[in-house]
Amino acid sequence: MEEILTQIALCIERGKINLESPYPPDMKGQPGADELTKQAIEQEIAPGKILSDALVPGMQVVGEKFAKGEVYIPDLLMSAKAMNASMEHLKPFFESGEVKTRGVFIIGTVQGDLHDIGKNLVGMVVKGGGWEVIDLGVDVSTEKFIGALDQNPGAAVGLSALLTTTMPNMENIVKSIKEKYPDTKVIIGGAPINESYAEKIGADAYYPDPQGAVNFLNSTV
Amino acid sequence: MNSREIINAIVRDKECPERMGLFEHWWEDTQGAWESEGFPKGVDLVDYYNFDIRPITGCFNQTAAILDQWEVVEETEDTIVSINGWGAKLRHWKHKSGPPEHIGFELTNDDIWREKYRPHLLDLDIRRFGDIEQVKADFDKFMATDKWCCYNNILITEIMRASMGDIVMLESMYLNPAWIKDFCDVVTNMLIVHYEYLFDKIGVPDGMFIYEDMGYTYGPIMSPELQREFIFPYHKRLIDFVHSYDIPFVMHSCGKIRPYLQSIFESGVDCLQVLEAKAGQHVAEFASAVDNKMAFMGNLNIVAYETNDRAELENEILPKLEAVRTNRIPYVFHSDHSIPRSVKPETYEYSLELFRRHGHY
Repeated sequence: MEEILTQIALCIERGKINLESPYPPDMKGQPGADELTKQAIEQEIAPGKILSDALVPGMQVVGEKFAKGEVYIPDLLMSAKAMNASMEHLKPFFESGEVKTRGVFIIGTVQGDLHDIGKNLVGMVVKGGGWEVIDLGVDVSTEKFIGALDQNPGAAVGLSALLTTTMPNMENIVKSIKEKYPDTKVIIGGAPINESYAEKIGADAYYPDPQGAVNFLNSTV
Repeated sequence: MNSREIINAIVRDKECPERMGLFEHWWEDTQGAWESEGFPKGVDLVDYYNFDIRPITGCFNQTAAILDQWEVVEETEDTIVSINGWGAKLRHWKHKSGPPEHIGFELTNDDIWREKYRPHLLDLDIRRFGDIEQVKADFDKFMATDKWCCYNNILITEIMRASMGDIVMLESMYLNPAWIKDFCDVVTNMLIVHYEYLFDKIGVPDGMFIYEDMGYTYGPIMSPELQREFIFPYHKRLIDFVHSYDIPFVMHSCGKIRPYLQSIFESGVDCLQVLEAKAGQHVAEFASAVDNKMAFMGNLNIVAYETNDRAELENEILPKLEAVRTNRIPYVFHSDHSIPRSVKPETYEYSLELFRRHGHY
């Protein structure tokens, strides 16, 4: 049982999606995350165990390597693709409630900013960390973030901004969230952001990489 | 020395003439915002601030849909959604600057590439230049001045990003490398064929200034190995072509691109712009890594400008100019990206005062 979970984790880490995928070249012709997850379910390994002992550790390894600059965005994308292939097999178990996520993470790019690439990468890795991700998109208003929190009590929030000119909007959103839901954990990120800015506007954390966000979120549950 | 001589000495000859060069970029909405607060209306900023560099033309339509480059499909008070000449749907702000939202891309695999887009990129098509008479008139007018005049455009990474988006581009380097190489090959040849026409029929400028974002704040967008395999050969081919006309090549890239420096240097780039300081990069370290055999432009942290505080600006600018002077780095004074509306004109003008006082070798 452990072996197949280790194999799935490796497929996620290396970005091996399925048998047909030519990447990575040294795993060509081997089953990928898709086939191995299906096989694990057929072997009656608990879906929750597949998530916690294979998918999450696989994404964690690649997330940590990314944070250290040992792998790059294309590697992260391939891992996310492999993880999504596995997740497809786990979807029915999430829907039935047999498998539960670690929590809900609401993410969006703040009002006045249309940039979405950084936000999408964070969303992918947080999802791979076992969280349900609600992506509100770009140019997201305070009202929309609050509305999403109304619908998902206890969720954590991630705010992204690329432009220095939209940083004040980030501050307003954090303030409004904390006024209505003081216990909500808010993480911020983006090119012009740093730790001291997070502190200044009352956000709970700033991370320059997606895995930092996952580690922080995991520490809150 | 006039502007042309100064920039040729720095960028082409990698020398340190009597002073450093001077140039700047602006976000699209900055000048309008300044004008609303009393800045003279409609001035040409190159002339107004007496910059050394004048981008003149050369930014021709490099998409597959030559005539209908932008089709507007949705418009609100604040934003506009349009489809570019690659079938990519993007949302832009109408009244302010900023990168667009990537809503969707049509060019997602090599079948679509081969059938719909590739055939339109194989031959010279002078419709890409628009009004060619105007291009010639602009060229003649600006080349008659003493500014260093350059053609500008975007290069393969930017063209891939605009056509297929970052995700398809980066994933396909692993999943379908032959497609990406064919794309880069065809597009590079297309650029060369059209620049050959411009050089022969319109004229050879003082240099080329090409935009090619390859990094983000925390790192390069792909590994140095992927950059070497998928980007470097096409950069080198285009730069070799440009050098065959005896003119230098300036390349802009945002973000942290230090891991690519050796590859950029080997490709023949004469001047690297813009060295984002926010990404932890320093012009002296870059120059030292290439033994001052490349010129540099930029590296002045825009965050310091945005404080609108003279002391902050001095803390950012003076040590860097000192490093440039001490290390004899061929250098053009420029922020580490573009001046946003949040920088007041008097702040920017104070940076120029610092340049005038300290920007000599």
